Amino acid sequence: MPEFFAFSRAFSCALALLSAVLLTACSSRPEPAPAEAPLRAATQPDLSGHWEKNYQLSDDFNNRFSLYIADIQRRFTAAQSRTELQVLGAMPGSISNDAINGLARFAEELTRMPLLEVEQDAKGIKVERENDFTLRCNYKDRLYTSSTNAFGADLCGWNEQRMLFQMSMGGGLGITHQFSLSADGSMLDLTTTVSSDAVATPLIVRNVYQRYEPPEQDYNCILTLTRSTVCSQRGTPK
Amino acid sequence: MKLACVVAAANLLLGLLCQPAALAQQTAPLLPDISIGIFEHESGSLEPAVEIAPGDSISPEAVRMTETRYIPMLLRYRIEATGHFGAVRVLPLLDNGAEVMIEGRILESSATQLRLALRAVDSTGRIWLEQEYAGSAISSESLNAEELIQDDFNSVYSEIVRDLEAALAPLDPAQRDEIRTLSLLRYGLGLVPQSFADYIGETPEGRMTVRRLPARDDPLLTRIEAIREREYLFIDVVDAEYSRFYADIKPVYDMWREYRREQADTAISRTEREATETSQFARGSYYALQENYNNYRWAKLQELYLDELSEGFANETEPTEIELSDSLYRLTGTLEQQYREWRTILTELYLLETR
Repeated sequence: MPEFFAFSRAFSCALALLSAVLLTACSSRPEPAPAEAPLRAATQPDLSGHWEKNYQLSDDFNNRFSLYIADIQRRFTAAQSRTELQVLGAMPGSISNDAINGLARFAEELTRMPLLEVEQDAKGIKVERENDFTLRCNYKDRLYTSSTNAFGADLCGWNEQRMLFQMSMGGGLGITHQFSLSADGSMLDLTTTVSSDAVATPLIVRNVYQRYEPPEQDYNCILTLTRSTVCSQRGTPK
Repeated sequence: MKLACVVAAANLLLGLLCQPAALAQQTAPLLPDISIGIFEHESGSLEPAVEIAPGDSISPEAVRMTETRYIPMLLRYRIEATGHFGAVRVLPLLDNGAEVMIEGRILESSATQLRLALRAVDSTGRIWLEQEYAGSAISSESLNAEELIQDDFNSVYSEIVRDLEAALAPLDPAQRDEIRTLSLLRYGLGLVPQSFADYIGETPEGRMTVRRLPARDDPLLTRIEAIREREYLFIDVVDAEYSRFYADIKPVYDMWREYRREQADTAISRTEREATETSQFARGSYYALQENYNNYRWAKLQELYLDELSEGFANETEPTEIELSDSLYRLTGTLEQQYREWRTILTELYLLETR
């Protein structure tokens, strides 16, 4: 499937370009985003629906963290023997426990998200998350789209059958959410990669969501800028 | 939303059959009705588009369109609240049969400043007010005031209303009656100039006067009144539409102005922050990551908030359906276009009936 390889290359190039841009964007003011890619060709899966976390199939965070630490230690030991510490950590000769623990705590909070609501059409996708901002990607007829704001930059789009949201923020913080649908459409896989320039190895957390029918709610809740989540009663006559 | 106004034929026939009131002896409450045309916006007040996302922004035209309706609607509610006037209506076009017609232009409208040019004239040509009104935004909310008439530019509207009351106060009952009589005659003049021209005179100062009155049972007058009743049907539909628009857009528009104020403040604080941008937390620590994420999250929430505003401003008018006798009229386009179309239909109906 040569078009997919071409697509993947284009996306990888865009990610690389974005990363380069973000290095400067987050340290000072945002730079222009990379040029957007041409039309996407394939029909993408429809991720629409209400999704709830399946805890049995999802990563247990403590286990994931233990594996992560073990991996860091293994790589640290291997690198130490090859005197390649600079590759692994921002602080040569040591591993910053504070940075690793900070990254882990941050990743754990970020990936809790028990419920997701996805709306998708030909023009874009919206992923509503509890107590966090809605991920939106207006890809329209493009492979990916990018934007910047005062505090970071993002790139989103389809990478083959997966929907990617890559964000890069100040302080070297990077987050990538990767959504993919199971073959039968009943499960949504969300793989989140959290990285910090203070830790060489990113932390990857995988969560699996299953479809559910939301109960009729008496309250309509929205996340606001100043008051966090605000709810109003549904069906109140005007 | 589909807006339908279905009026029973019987009611209309009743309107057609009813006898014209004796113009000179009308005993209706002498509270003049006020018609307010939607305002015009001065081109100089265009603010730059606010970008929400790449290629997606709140257009200044949408905000301007909102203001040309929002401001007259708010004025209408403020005038109504006095209880010193009759029906107060907002119309898509100027009404040549209005008792008192208010025209307005928005000279400046920002989050902090409002400047309007207003002209109010009654059917006799008497000028009630013709001047500019300006004020600065004062964010104050009174718990006792009705939410619909709360606005940061309350002082501007209060001044306009005071001036209207001051113009009304010296008018004696005969003058008020003359305003009402002339409004009907002028409406007739617009439909059948050759028949109504004789009833209206003009003073050297350009004021309209009643030269003579049609007979109490003049069939022409009966038809004119019936046609005007039909026009009121549409005006009621328009009124409901504008009221709905106002109720929908008011919170959005209020948020928009608040956002513009905050944006101006943020621009200053951001410059200050960039000049001294250092985090108090160690790079890579949990708190530093949280701080960076929360900043980014805040910016994303703001984008979402602007997007919702944009949707609110993109409110479009749905077609209107009005049933008259056995015919259903479907009017499309903006309310202004619909109103023109409706007036054409009424003129054609009138000509058909008088053949």
